[in-house]
Amino acid sequence: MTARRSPRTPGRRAQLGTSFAELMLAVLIISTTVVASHSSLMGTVSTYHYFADGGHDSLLLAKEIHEAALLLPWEHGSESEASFGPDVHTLFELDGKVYSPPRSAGYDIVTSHLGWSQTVSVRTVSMNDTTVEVDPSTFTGQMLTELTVAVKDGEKLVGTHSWWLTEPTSE
Amino acid sequence: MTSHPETHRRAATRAARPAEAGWVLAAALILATMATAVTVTYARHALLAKHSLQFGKGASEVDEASRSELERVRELMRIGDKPGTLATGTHDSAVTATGEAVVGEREVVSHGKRELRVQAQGNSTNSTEEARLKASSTVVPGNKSVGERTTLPCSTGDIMLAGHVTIISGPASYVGVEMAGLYLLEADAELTLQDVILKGTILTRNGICPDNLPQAGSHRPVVRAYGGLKLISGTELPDVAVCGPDMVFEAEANSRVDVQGFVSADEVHVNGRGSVHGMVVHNESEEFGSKVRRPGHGRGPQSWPDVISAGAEEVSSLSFPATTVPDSTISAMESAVIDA
Repeated sequence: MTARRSPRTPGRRAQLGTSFAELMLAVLIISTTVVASHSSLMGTVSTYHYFADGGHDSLLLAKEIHEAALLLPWEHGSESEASFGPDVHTLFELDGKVYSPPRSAGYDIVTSHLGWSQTVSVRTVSMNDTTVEVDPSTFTGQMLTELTVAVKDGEKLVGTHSWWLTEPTSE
Repeated sequence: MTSHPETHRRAATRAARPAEAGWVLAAALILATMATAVTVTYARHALLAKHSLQFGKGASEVDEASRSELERVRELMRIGDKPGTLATGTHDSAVTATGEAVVGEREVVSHGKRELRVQAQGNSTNSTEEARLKASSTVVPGNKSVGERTTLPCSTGDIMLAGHVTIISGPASYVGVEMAGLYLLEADAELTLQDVILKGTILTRNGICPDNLPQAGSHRPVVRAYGGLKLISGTELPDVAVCGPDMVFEAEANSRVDVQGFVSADEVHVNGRGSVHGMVVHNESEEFGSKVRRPGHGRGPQSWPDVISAGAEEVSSLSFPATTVPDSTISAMESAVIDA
C-alpha cells in the first residue's frame, strides 16, 4: 500500500496546483477586462439615457430660446425690429419669462413637446468667475451677459443650458 | 511484473485528465475574452456615435459650449481686453456653467483681419467629445452706439456740439462700409480705411482746440487709406475733411482717394490716384502722386485783361429769374415815409 501510494502523490499535487494557477489566471483576465470595459459600458448607458430621458430634447428646446435671443436688440430704440412674442422686445425682457408650452425661435408653439416648459433668465456675471452674478450698475470689473434656459418636462427639471452673449455689432 | 489491464486504463485516464481540463479552461477563457471584446467594441461604437447622433439631431452640448466661448472672446475684444494665442499663453480659458472646458484664441492675420479659434472639451468620461470653431473677424474699436458723446470741449470754454462722434484710441479698421460723423483720433490711434465712404470730418484733439498739445513722433494719430476712399466733409464742420495738425495721413500707391474739403495734417502722403478738392495744409511734409488731381492748386492770382475778346462765342439768349414780390412787401414800400 505504501509503496503504491507514494509514486501518485506528486502527480495529484501537480494536477491540483495547475488547476489553481489556471483559476487565478482566469480571474485575472476576467477582472481586467471587466475593469477596462467599465467606463465604456457606463458611457454607453449614459448615452442611452441622454437620448431616452430627454436630455437632447432639452438642449434643442433651450437652443430655440438662444437663437431667438441672438436676434433681439439689447436696448430699446434700436433699429432692429426683432421681438419674441408680444412683450419681449429686448434681450433683458426675456429674463424671468416662462414659456409653457415651449416656443420655437420664431415664437411658434413646439407641438411635439406640449407638456414641457422653458424658463429663461438673463443675468450679468463676472468675466473672471462666471458663477458669480454681479450688479452691472456697481460692478467695476469685466462683465459678461449669460443666458440660461431651464427646460422642464412637467414639473421635472430635464436640463439647464447656458450661453454667454455679447452685444450685437451695430455698423 | 506484468500489470493488470484495468490498472493501465486508470493510469491512462489519470494522465489525460489534467491536459483535457486545461484546454477546456483555456477555451472558456478565450470565449469570455471574445465576448467581452465584442461588448466593449459595441460600447465604444455607441459612444463614438453619440456625437454623430447629436450632430444629426441638430445640437450638441460641446458645440453650444464652443459657440458660447466664441461670444466670450468677442466680448473680450469689444471691451478691449483682447486674448492672444495658445502658443503665447495669452489665450482665454473658462469653464461653462454646464462643465465644458473652453479655450479661445485670437490671432492677428492682417491689419484688418483677426482669426478667432475656440475649442470646447466635453465634461463626460469620454475624452474624445470636443468641438472646434473658427471664425474671421474685422475689428472695430467697439460696437457700442457711437452717439453718446455729443460735445467736444476746449479748455478755453468753447464747446463744439456734435451728434455723432466716434472716438478712436487704438488700432481701428473699417472695410467696405459707409461712415458718417466726426471721428476723433486720440494719441496712438491708427485708423485704417479700406473701400470706405466717410461723410464727415477726421479730427484730433489738437485740431479741435489748439490748447490741447499736439502729439509728436510715433504717438501721432495715423490714417491709412487702402483701396478706395471717398472723404467728403459733412454738415457738422462744413468744408472741413481733416483737421489734425498732429496727424499723419497716408494713402498707399494702389489706393484711389477722393477728398472734398479742407485738409490739415502734420504729414500728408497720397501716392495713389484720385483727386483732392480743397486746401491742404501740412506742417512737416506733403507728398502727392502724379496721378492725384488737385483742382485749383498751384494757380496764382489771375490778372484781369484790359480787353475781353469775345472770339467766336456769342450770347444767344438771356433769362432773368421771375421773383414774385409778396403783397406785404409792396404795401410796406407804398406806405413807407421818405424823409425829405
